[in-house]
Amino acid sequence: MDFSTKMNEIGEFGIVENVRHPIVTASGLPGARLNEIVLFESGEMGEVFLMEENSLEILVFSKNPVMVGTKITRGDSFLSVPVGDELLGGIIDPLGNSVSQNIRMQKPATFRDIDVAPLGISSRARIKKPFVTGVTIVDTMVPLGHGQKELIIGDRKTGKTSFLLATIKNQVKLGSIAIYAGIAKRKSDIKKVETFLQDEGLANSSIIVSTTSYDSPSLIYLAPYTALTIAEHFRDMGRDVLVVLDDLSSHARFYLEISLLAKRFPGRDAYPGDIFHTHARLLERAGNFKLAEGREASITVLPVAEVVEGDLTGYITTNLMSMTDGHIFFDSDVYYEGRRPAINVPLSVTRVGRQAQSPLLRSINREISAFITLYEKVQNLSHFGAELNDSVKETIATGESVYRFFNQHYNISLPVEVQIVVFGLLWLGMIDRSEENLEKVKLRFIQEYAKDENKALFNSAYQQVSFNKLLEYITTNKTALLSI
Amino acid sequence: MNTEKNVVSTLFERDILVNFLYQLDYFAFKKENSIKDFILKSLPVKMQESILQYFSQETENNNIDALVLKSKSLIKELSSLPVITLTVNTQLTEEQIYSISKWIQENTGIKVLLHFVEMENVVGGAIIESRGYIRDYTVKKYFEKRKENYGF
Repeated sequence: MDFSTKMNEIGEFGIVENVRHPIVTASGLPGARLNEIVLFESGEMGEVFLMEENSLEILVFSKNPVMVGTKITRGDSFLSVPVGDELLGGIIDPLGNSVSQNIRMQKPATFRDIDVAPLGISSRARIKKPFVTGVTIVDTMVPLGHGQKELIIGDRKTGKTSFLLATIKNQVKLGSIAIYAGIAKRKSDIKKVETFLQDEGLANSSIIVSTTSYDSPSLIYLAPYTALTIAEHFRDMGRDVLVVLDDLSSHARFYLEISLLAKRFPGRDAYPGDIFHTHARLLERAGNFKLAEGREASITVLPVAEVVEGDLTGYITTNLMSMTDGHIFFDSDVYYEGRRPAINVPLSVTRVGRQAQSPLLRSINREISAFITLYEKVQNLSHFGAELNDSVKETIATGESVYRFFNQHYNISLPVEVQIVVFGLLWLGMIDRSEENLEKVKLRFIQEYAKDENKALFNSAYQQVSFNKLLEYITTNKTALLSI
Repeated sequence: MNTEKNVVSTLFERDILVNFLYQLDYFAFKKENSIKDFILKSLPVKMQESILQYFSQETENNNIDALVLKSKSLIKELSSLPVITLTVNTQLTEEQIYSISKWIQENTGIKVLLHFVEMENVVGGAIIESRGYIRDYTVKKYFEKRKENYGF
């Protein structure tokens, strides 16, 4: 869109009166509409953010401030991003421009409005398809479903991004499209994600929407909207999409900055009063949706929230907890205990994931949950130094081995079939419980599961209806399973 | 203030007058010369008579406070006048400015200030800008549009 062409076409102009970068106050533009694009004479682009009787507030997307007295005109359209298969493998900014120096991306011809109202209840279907992350502790203890919004919460450096990368890897391998929105991240963090996707061969099914802390706050504010707009395009094409919003606490901070500059009245913790509405409206765009001919496609969103010293009671974090379908808590204490991923299971919640779980996994989940409660209790008692009887010792040993079983490097994705077989063997004491051996068994089983001749053995295990039936199956097929 | 006598009809003239009114405030503070001398020294001939008449009561009574107050309200009034910007090819004569100003007042019924911008590539006519609207009424634009629509 060219400034002079648009001004001649529309015949309206305005003048910048006041600049509080990235907020600009302007007069003129009598026909302006809320959220409409505004073009600046100096080449910048903005969006109508607020309208008053005689002036407009415009959010400028450029990094450099505009000058007072600059002429502006209406773009006669709303903010939109290019969407299409051409974006796959690309790294784009929130306006859809490629920011990668290595990848030459052709810009798609189709555009889609960034800020749209979430679809209503009639367009939505029940969440019933399991969302496999490939991370055992999540798939068994905090299961997710396609279309769920699950908050990933925790202190910095507790392995949140590693977990997200493992999930992206597994989901892309299962046929989903992954969109990673980096919100005010460091350039090195974006580079790490890019390298991971390329090294794992996932780039062709993933898109990175990148903003760094050096970008304009208005551009950072747009990043999650762009990610969800692209996701909606692929959803309409019938594809399941995973969207990672890393992270929404930074997004809230930049929205706070914009709102304060726009002289909006600050609310709790200086955040604007509409921060809940902003995030809820954004996250409501996720879900499992009905398409034509009885088909369904989902947008699963994993927003990230960073907390300080494990404090889950912050304003933004509690907001996000209440608008998502649960949260996975990455605990620094668990991290320092050496567990990877450092998920605190008792403090993690999943609200709709269990309804998508198979009866077998539900049964395993129940069994492990009950056992972990017992283990934690027994472990607390063991701190008193009293002499422990054999059954307590056995419980502690099994508990430790269960946590060892949950330990997993983020580069390794375990198919659910492999997860349950290894767990069954471990529970029955048929394999050595040492960490090294568990790692070896997992890797061997992943390789063997990929072979067609072994698939039936694993798949039959997954077909069992309860944990007891699974244990029976494993006992019967012990020799076959251990010999592969 | 009555602008029918064309005391102020362009943005340039308004700026001269507003500048004078601000100086009046400073003059009133220093009280070196008579107000009449100051008006004759600072304003173009075209404005002198009307301004003397406008402030006649205050100058006769030598009421400086009332003079300052009246000048401030005049600044406010002048600043709120709408501006019409005309981008034209050459510098316009006094008569042309007067007739344009008169035509606008007669046809719209509102007092406006004209702002003239000279631009060489504006051919035949003018580009008019006011209150956020812009219209290109030049022969150049007409031919450009014609070329777009008919190819010649």
